[in-house]
Amino acid sequence: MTDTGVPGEDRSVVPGAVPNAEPPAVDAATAQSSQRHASERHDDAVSDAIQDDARASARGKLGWLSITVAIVFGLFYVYAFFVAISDIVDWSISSNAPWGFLIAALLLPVVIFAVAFWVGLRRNIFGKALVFILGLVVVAALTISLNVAGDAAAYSGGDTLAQQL
Amino acid sequence: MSETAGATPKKPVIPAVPAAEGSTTSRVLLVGYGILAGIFVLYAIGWALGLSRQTHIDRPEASALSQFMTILTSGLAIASGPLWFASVYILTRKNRTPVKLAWQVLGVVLLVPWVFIVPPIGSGGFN
Repeated sequence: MTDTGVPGEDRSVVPGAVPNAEPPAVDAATAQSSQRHASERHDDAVSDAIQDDARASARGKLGWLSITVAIVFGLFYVYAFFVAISDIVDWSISSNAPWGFLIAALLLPVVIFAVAFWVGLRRNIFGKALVFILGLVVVAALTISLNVAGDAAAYSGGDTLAQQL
Repeated sequence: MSETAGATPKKPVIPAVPAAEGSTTSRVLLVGYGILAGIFVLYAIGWALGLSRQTHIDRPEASALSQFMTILTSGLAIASGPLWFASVYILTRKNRTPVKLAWQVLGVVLLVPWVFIVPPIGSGGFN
């Protein structure tokens, strides 16, 4: 990050500051070094947190970073869960509600979150995040598929899915 | 990665090792990845076309959160195939070829764009 930032700063300084080149150069050098120290310290703190968490994950335990990531991504799974409850409430007044698909859509985010949690258990924080995102993608696609299939089942014969099975 | 990094001093060894090690498996993997990538691209097209037929995605009467989540869900569904391919590719880097392909095939099974295959019936849909 610092390497990519430094040439950009130099390029912006050089065209404007041609007459008095030396004082800005010194200022820029000190500013760059202090920035670099600050960013290194920042990187150290972040990488320490990530490595602490990775060490805990390697033992099959959860660091605070892992728990935070699980909660943040868990909110999206919880949203899908509540939408499924909302759909069940909406359908409950209907005589031909596709209960099988509605209940599958209710269980889906719970099951996928559990699977994603288990798959990511011994991975580092980036692996965990990737698995949770992948789980959300599966929840999104399968929820739509279940809704489409549920609609098709509800509107095709007039029978509920439970009666058809 | 670590193998190539360790083998950098001996230059003639580097091209020989991967070619001799898994020529058959790597060829199977390459062909498999080619087929799978094609399937997942078709899935993305199928999801996009299928969701474009769904008229209830744009619901001005719904709450802002509901609208946002509907758009997010639709976007994730369209991108689901390519995202699965890339994510599983990264997550199974250290696994053997059958494991890699098995996880990819699971995505082919799970992410079928039924919204494209099933003809649109009624007015119901997902929120």
